[in-house]
Amino acid sequence: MRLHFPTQINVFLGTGVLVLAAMGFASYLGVADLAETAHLEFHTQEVLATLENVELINREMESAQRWYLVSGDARELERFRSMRDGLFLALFHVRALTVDTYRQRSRLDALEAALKRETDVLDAAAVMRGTAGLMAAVSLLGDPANRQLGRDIDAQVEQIRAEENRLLAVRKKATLARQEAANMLIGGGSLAAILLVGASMFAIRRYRIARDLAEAQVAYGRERLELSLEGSSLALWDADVRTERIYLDGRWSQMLGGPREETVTTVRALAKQAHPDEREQLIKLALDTVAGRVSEYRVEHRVKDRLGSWRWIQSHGKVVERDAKGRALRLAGTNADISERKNVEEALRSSEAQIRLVTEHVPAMIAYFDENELCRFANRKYAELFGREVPEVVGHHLQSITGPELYHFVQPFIARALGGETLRYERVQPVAGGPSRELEVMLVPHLAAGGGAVGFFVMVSDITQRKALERMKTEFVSLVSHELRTPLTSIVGALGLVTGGAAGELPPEAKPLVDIAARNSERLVLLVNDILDLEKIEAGMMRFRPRPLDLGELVRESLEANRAYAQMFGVRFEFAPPPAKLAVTADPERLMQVMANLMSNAAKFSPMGERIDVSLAARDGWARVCVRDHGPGMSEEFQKSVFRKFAQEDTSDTGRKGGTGLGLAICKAIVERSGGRIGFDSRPGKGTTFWFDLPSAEPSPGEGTWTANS
Amino acid sequence: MDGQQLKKILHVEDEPDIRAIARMALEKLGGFTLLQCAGGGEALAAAPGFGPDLILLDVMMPQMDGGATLEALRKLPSAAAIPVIFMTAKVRREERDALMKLGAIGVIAKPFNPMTLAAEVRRLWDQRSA
Repeated sequence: MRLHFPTQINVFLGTGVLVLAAMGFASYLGVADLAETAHLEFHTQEVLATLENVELINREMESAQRWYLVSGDARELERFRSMRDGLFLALFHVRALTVDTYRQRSRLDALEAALKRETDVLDAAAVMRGTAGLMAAVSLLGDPANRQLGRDIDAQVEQIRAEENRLLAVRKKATLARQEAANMLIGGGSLAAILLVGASMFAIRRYRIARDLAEAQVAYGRERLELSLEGSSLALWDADVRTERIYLDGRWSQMLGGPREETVTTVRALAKQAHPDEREQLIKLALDTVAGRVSEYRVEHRVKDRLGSWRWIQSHGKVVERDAKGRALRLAGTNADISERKNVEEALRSSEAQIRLVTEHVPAMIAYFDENELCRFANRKYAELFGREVPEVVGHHLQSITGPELYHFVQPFIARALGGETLRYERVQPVAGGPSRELEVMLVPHLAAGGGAVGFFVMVSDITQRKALERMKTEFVSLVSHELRTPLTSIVGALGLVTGGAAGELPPEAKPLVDIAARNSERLVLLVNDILDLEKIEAGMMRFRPRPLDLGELVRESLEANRAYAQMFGVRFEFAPPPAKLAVTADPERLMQVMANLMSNAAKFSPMGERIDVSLAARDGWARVCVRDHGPGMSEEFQKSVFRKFAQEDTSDTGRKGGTGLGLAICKAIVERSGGRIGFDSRPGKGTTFWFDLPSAEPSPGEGTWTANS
Repeated sequence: MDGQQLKKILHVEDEPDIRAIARMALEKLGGFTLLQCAGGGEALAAAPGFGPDLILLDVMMPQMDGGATLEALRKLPSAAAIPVIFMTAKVRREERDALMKLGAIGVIAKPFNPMTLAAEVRRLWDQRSA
C-alpha cells in the first residue's frame, strides 16, 4: 500500500525520535559503564600507590632503625617508631582499598604478619642496642631467620602488586572497550539521526512538490470543469438528505430563464417545479436513492421555467456520502437543459411517424437492410409478406426472414445490390393455403459518400394482378387478332378476287376505290400480324430456335425474298458478299423477319430508281448487318422514338408507305432477344443506315475496326 | 409425285363468306371439283360419298375443330388416307408445327390470297410425298 506523504513523514520522524531515544539511552548506559570501569582502574592505581607507600615506609623504618643502631641517637629511634606506626597505617589503607578482593586479603594478612614480626625483631634489636650493645643487636639482626623475613616481605608485596597490576591491565582494557562502544554508539546514533532528518527533509520536499502539483491539477481541473459546464450548460447540485436542503449553482437559475445566481431550496420545493406527469416518478426515484436501492440515476423530466413554459431537463444524480447503514446522506449531480435535443427528437419522431404512416399505407413492401444484411427498417406490408410483425423483422438477418431456400435464390441479387447496382427481378412467393403471389423486387443500393454500398433498399410490389392482366391482355390480343382475321380473310379474299379480275372487269370509276380497299385490308392484315408478333415477344411467348448459321447466306436469302417488294417501289438491293463466313448463332426465321422489316423500310423510303446497300462487317466479337438507303433521312425528333411501337414519321405520304409502325419495335425485340443490339445513323437529306449486331460465333478478324465487305 | 391428279377437294369451313371466296378461288380459278361443308360432322358424313383427293380443313370451328375432324377422318376407312391441308388464322410457328404433326401435308395461313390459293394448294399437293 502506498502511504500518503504526511504519513510517510510521520513514520520517518517517529522512527527518528525512537532511534535517537534508544541511542541516547544506550549511550547513557555506555558512559555510566565507562565511568564505572574508569573508577575501578583508578582504584587499582590507588592500591598500587598505597602499596608502594607501604614499601617506602618500610624502608624508611629499617633505615631509621639502622641509624639508631649505629649512632644510638634517640631521635632515630623515635623516627623508627613513628615509621612503624605509619607502616601499619599505610597497610591498613591498602587493606581498606582491597577489602572486596578476597585473594588480596589473605596476602595482606600474610604481609601484615610478616611486617609485624619484622618490626618486632627490629624493635627487639633496638632494645638490645640499648641494653646489650651494638654487636648483640647486629647479631640479632644477622640471624638467618630474620634475614629470611625481609625476603618474605618483599615477596608478599610483589605478589600483591602483581595481582593489582593484572587487575589494572584488565580494567584498562575494559575501559578502552567501553570507550570504543560508547564512541560507536554516539557516532552511529548521530549518523542515524542525520540520515533520518535527511530522509524526512527529502520526504517533506517530495510531499510539497506533489502537493503543489495536485493543487495545480485541482485548480486546472476546476477551471476545466467550469469551462465544460459553461459549454454544456450543466448545472451542479448538491443535496443534504438530513436537512432536505439542495444547493444548485448559478446555471440552474439561468436555465430557467433568470439571472445567474445560486439557488438554495428544499427538495420538496424543487419537486413542485417538475411536470405533474413526471413528478411522482422523480419523488420515487429520490426516495429509492435515499433508501439505498438506487446508487445512481439519470432521468429526463420537465421543469417549469420563469416564463411558465416547460423545459426538458436531464437530471443525473449519485450518492456521494452514506451513513454506516448504507443510507444516503448526501446526493450530488448535474442538471442539463436538453429541451433543444428533445425538440429535435420530437420532430424526428413525428417525421418518422409520418414516414411510417406513408410507408404503412403505400401498397408496396419496403425495407432497408444494412451491409451485413440486417433489417434496419421494414413497413408492415413487408413484414406481412413473410407472415410476421414488424418487430419480428427489424433487427433480424435476411436469411432468418426469408428462410434458407428463398435466401439462396435472392443472395446473388443482394450481392449485386451491395456491389452498387440497382436491379429488379421477379419472383413467385408461395402462399400457404392460397394462390402464390407474383412479386417484382427492386433493390437500390444505399451508397456511402465514398461510393461503396452500406446497405440496400428493398421495394417489393405485388404484381400478381398485373401479371394476370398481362396474361389476359395477351390472350385478348391473340383472340382479337384471330377474330379479326376471319372477317379480314373474307375481305382480303373478296377484294383479291375482284382486283384480280376473277369477277370480271370493274367499271373505271370503281377500280381505284376497290384498290384502296384492297391495299388497306392488306395493311390491316400486316398490322394484325405485327401486333401478334410483338405481343408474343413481349409476353415471352415467341419461341426462338437459335442455330449456327452463316450471316452472309441469310442476307442473300432475305435479298431474294424481298426482291419483289423492292421492285414494287422501283428500287434495287446491292449486296457485296463477304469474303469469309460470318458465323452467328440465331433463329434464322426471326432474322429473316428483321431483314424483311429493315429492307422493306429502306425500300419504302428510297426515291424511285435508287439503290439500297446491304453490307456485312465484323469487329470486336460482333457481326454487323447494315441496310443503307438514300432516302430523306429521319428528323431528329423522330430519331428519338424510332423503335417505339406505332412510331411513324409524320409525313404527308405515310399512307403511301403502308407501314404498321411496329416493324422496328419488333426488330429491336428480336435482335435483343438474340443477344444483339440494333441502331441507326441518319442525317436528314443523306439517307439512313439501320444496323444490327449479333455476337460472332467465331473470333472475328481485324480486331478494333469494322471489316467492311461492301 | 405419284402422278395422281388433284381434282376433287373437300373444303371444311364454318364461315360462309370464306367458303364463298374459296369456292371462287378453287372452283372458278383453280378448276377443281369442290364440295364444301360448314363443320367437321358434316365433312365426316360427306367425305365417304364424295371421295375427295384432298381435304382443306379450317382449324377453329365450333363444336368440332380441325384437329378433331382430322382425327375422326383418319378413323374412316374410306377417308383415312386422304391428304389434308389446314387453313388457319393461327400463324404461330408452334401452332403450325403442331398442325403438321397431326398429319397434314401443309398449312395455309389466313387471310389467304384467293388469286394464288389454287396454285398454293397444288404446290402442297405436289410436294406431299417429296
